[in-house]
Amino acid sequence: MSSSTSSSEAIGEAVGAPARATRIALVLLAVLCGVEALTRFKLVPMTKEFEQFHSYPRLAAELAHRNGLRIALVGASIVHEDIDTALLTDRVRAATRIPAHAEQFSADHSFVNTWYYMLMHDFWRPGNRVDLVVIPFVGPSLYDHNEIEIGRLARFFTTVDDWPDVLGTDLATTAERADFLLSSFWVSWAARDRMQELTFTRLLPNYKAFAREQQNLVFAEVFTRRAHKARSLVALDRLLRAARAHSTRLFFVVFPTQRADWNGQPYAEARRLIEASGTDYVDLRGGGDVDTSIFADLVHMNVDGRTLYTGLLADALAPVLGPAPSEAGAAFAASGASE
Amino acid sequence: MNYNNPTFWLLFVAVYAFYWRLRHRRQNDLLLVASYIFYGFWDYRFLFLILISTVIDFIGGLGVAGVQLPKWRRLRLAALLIGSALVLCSKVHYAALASGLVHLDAQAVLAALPERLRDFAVPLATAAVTLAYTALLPWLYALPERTRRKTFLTISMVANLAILGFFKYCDFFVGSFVNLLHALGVQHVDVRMLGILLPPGISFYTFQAMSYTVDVYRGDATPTDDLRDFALFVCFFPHLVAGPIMRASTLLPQVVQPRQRRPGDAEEGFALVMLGLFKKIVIADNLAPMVNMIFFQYGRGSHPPTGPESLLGLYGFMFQVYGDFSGYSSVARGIAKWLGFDLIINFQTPYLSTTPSEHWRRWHISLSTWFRDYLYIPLGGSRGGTAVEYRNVIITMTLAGLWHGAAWTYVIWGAYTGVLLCISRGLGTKEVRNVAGHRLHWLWRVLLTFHLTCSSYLFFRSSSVPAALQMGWRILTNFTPTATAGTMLGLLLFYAAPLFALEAYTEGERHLERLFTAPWPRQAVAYAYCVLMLVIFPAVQTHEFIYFQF
Repeated sequence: MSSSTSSSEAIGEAVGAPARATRIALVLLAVLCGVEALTRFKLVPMTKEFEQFHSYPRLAAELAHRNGLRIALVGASIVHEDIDTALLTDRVRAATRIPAHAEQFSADHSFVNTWYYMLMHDFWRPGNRVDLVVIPFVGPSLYDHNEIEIGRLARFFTTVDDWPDVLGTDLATTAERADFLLSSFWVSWAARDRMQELTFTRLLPNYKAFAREQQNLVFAEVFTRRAHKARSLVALDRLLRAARAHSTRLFFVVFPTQRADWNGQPYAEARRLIEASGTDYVDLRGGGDVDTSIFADLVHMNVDGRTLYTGLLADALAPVLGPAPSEAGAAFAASGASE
Repeated sequence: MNYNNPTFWLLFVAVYAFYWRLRHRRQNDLLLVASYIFYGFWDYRFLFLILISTVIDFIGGLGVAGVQLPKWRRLRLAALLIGSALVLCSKVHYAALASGLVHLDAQAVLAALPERLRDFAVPLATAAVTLAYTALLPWLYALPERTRRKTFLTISMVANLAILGFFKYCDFFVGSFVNLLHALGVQHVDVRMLGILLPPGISFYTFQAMSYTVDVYRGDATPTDDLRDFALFVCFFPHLVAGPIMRASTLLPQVVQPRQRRPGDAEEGFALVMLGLFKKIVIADNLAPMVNMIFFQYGRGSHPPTGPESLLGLYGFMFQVYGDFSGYSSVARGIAKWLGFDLIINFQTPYLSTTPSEHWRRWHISLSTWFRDYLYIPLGGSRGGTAVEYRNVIITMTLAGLWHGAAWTYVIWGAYTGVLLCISRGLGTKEVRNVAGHRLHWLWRVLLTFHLTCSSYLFFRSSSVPAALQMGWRILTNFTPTATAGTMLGLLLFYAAPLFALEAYTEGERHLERLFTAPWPRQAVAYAYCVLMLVIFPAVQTHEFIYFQF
């Protein structure tokens, strides 16, 4: 049998002065502070996505003060990968004969939880009213218990006032809550995903493609496993209620992907909830096999797909915004602009 | 509840805040309650299994030693078991019951209680067996010494193996039997799987409880007549669900005797916990997606990865399983140190072994010595000639494989490992030391042993035997280099290479004090590296410890 470890005596002699532990602790503290400073002053400003998040309140204010139809596109990467904003505004303008303006507010791999806080801080504040918030989505984005990017939620989309809501509604486990609280004041911790990505993309030339491949294969299994579980819609319900309370008109639109498991999701409960709240819901998936030539990867579209589906989205929005040359559309726009 | 979960640490801080302020008896009570809370987090019903194991071996150990429990203690033990069965296993909806009581809602309270007689099946069965055993005990005590000792030992072994067999292997054997019938042409077999939930770590604590009675029988351990001490010995939370499996002769005295705060324990505990978390969170959890990606593709019959990708996936698994399991052991030892306990070293740089036998003396030491002492030697060990020795090795390793999991892949892994050990013994391979003049030879033998071990782990990790064979064939016949393989190699080196350097420096945890006697700047660099990796490079997704399922 292996002997019991008793190196304690040897260590006792070696430990000696407590000053050594203090020195080591000070070095650790200095290193952590150094990394924190580097992250705050170097990494965050050089990360395009983070800078983009910082710009959202300004963009929202600018959009709200434009004349005509003001459309905010809020969601995950689908917003910037599958929708051509300029084309969309042209098509909407042509259909409604009202000047239209659209702006993208996206956060890659985000879900309904994050979108709620984006709307709350960017649009549900005095003077930032828009006419329509379009929420394009794929996969399980509307359901609860997705793997939220907690660091990003803590740093860019929530404030201390939101903590009770985030900790009670959006995060389900103690680990997630601890992660959120740490992320709120510790930027290096919050931005660790980006730091990993930055390190590996520099060290390993093929890392991005590898990570995507790995994610597709491994997460496909995770999503399949989760698909069998009953999913709740608490965060979606909260978003719908808040939108109604703030008189914000939402428009949910499902986009197709190449993933059979996502394309096959009926979203029955989500759709019921959305429609029951008087909110528009459009499914652009068509029901049949998707044309694989319009995709850049499993989820996102290429230029052809973007053009095609932006057109389809504009067609779907036209009746909501008012058929041309509808007075209702102009009235709608005018009422929005007057706020 | 895992070490990589903040809830665990909240519980631990709460325990530790009071622990050293209490007297010895109260410390044990606190640890016992904490251990049950820790285990009950998975499913409170599993506590009943631990209690059964505890009570049976408690009575068994005393019975073997010839200590008779007075009638009132026997009845109290029976009441404890029956009461536990009623509370834990009678399908009461406790949340609804609590809500009903708070709101003084009689209907809600009634709805939360069991409705049918079969909801009381477990408590009724427990009552019947417990009362029968209690009634039988005076008669067992009166048996001649030799017969009494054997009878108590047999009851302990049968009860523990029955619990383990039912919860871990029932569905496996039923499924295998149905498959056999299908293979023989019997198509219509109306057998339903029970879908039994596997209690975490059941193999660890049943083996530990069982070995206590055996040790008492052999005279290697002194039985305790304090149930709380014995219960703590069985369920001591730092190592409860994934070892190291402790012997009664090592752990029980530490439970029974007052513990002292020793100089150096805090620092050594801290180093062990850090090292363990690093192995688990940085190495094992980060390699898991890469490993899953490769093995997943073999499991689902799509176009398989190339040979180099498969080989790197296998290497990745080797480091994942090592980081995962030795990480758990390391954290367990560190936490035990903080509480004044010494748990045995479970891993000693196994991947630097130069023969398969040496590997098994350095890998999961507490289990391999358990199988050696309680199975291999009783089977006859190496006495009785080479053929008997080889038979015993193969039987022992096959059962060790089955211990790991109820699947044929584990059985084949065990048997294959046994064959490797026999071949190594047959060839008379000797261990090689890493000393000047022998370094190249040592390196060659380390690489050879590592790859032989890899080949066995192919079965351990694969979802099926055909998938393992397909992957092995792919590794041997396909040499197409890909960008994916390059990235995998980079990730493997990034995560695992520094650990290897540290392990080589300290020989695992065997000479961990080398870290403490090094100049402080060197220690500061080691700690800073560890902390930075834990802060910046923890895995995006945490994974359950692999060995919990065993």
